[in-house]
Amino acid sequence: MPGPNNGHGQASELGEDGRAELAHRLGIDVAALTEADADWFADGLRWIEHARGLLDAALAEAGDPGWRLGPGPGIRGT
Amino acid sequence: MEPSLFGIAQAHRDLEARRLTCAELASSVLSAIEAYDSRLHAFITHRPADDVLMEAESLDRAGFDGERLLFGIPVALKDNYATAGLRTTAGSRVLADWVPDRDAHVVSRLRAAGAVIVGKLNMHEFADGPTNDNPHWGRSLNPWDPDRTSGGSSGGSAVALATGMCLGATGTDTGGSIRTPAAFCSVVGLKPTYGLVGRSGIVPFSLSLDHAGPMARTVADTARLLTVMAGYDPSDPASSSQPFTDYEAALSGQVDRLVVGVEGSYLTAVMEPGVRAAFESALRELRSLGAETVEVSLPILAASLAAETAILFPEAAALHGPTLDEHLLDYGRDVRLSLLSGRLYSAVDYVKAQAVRSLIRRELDLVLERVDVLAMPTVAMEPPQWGQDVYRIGDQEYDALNAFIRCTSPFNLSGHPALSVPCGLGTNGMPVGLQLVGRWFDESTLLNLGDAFERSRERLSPDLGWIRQRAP
Repeated sequence: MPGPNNGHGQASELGEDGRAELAHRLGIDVAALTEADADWFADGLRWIEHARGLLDAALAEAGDPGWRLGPGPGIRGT
Repeated sequence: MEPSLFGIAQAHRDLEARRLTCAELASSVLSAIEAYDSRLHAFITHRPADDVLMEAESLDRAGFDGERLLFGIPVALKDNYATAGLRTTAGSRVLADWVPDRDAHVVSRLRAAGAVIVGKLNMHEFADGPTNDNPHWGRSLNPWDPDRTSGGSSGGSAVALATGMCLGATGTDTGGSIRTPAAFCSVVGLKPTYGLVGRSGIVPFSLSLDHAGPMARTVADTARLLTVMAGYDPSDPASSSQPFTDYEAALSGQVDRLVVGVEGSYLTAVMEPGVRAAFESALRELRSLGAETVEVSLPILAASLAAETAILFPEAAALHGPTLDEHLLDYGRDVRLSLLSGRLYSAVDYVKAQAVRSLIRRELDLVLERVDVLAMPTVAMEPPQWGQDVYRIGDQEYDALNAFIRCTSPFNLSGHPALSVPCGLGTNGMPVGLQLVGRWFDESTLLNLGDAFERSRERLSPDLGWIRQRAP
């Protein structure tokens, strides 16, 4: 699997504060986060927002979801 | 034909009739490795040739045993399958020196069936990518065109099969990692039903999405490998205790009256023109074999990539956890960023994605009550050139996720079995795969239809002249 996107963010779009906050969320030292990497994650955050919209839309479309009643999310092998 | 390119059944006929020895078969495979692998990089670790030959000679001395389904058959393993005494790197520098002290569950089953392990195959690092562009062990070049990706993450498996460097191989598949390289290199790959093939001893990527499965040059060989690989694994919590099935025996050739569904809203909505032509030709072929094709619709699949990513990346980030922090710069950049991105999803994202996953499973089950099999292209495009960021399909540009795994990942979410079989060539002269998806634990129907389709087509092999031309 690739990352959530292909790194087509706008250059340096996060700014210094944004990079520091991103590094904190990632649990890494901000010095380890290059500008190009930060832009990659900026694209990733856009994808995550987009994905949230798709998930919410799918759940809304399903109406009263049987999944709330169990046996629980996901699938089992048996 | 060189024995290294034989099918497993043909090799067994010749071994039983003493027209061939296990040592001769192993030698033929070792010669192919010697001739091609320095250019193709299909392997990360070769088992020493002397060890391979000694094991093959030992089998010759014992005498042919047809009860052992892989007796004397040279098999290669994706390098995330643990092998006792043989380095297992998962394609990463992080595990560059790991020599396991025990075999993965599936490796034990393969050895017990008489397989001769010839080495460990190249892969996208930690199975986290669809191209097999590996910064640590080299790119596994596509033997059809070395400027194009072999697909991933089981790229080395597909390359080795396409060039006679083994007769059978293993792969793993979390979003399409068996089926994509199978399609791109014109070999066969099966992602079995979730739980059918045990995964203990396989370096995980995303435990609820990971599947282990066979890859081979033909559907019949794939069926035989699955017969050996399938079975209860007490160390895999998701393992199923399905009764033993001889999948090769299911290849009856009778496919008339099978109903094949074609999903138009998502799975076949986006394709390169050459892929579409190959796919439509395949549908005509299936009809000529007696199958009926019907249109179906699964609009829920529009959310499948969202669900896949919101499950896969958090699970992968959780698995790598402290290792990622301690060895951050030992990971290749793409995998490092990918794994870190899992930390950006919330628990709510993960739970909603699992809910959508349940809906996808339910909708697919309902459709598969009306049809026996779903058909679609394995990948919407022909193998792209190395190093691309954006992938053009028709007049639209797509990111890697949409380009590579839009047709494969829904079945990692749902757990349904999915088979990729060669489906001719596209407009660039590169292989195209036909994907067939069936009901849970109904691999037999998939393999039977895939076998009938395969037999109706000419088998295609890459021209390896470019290796000889480029050799120093």
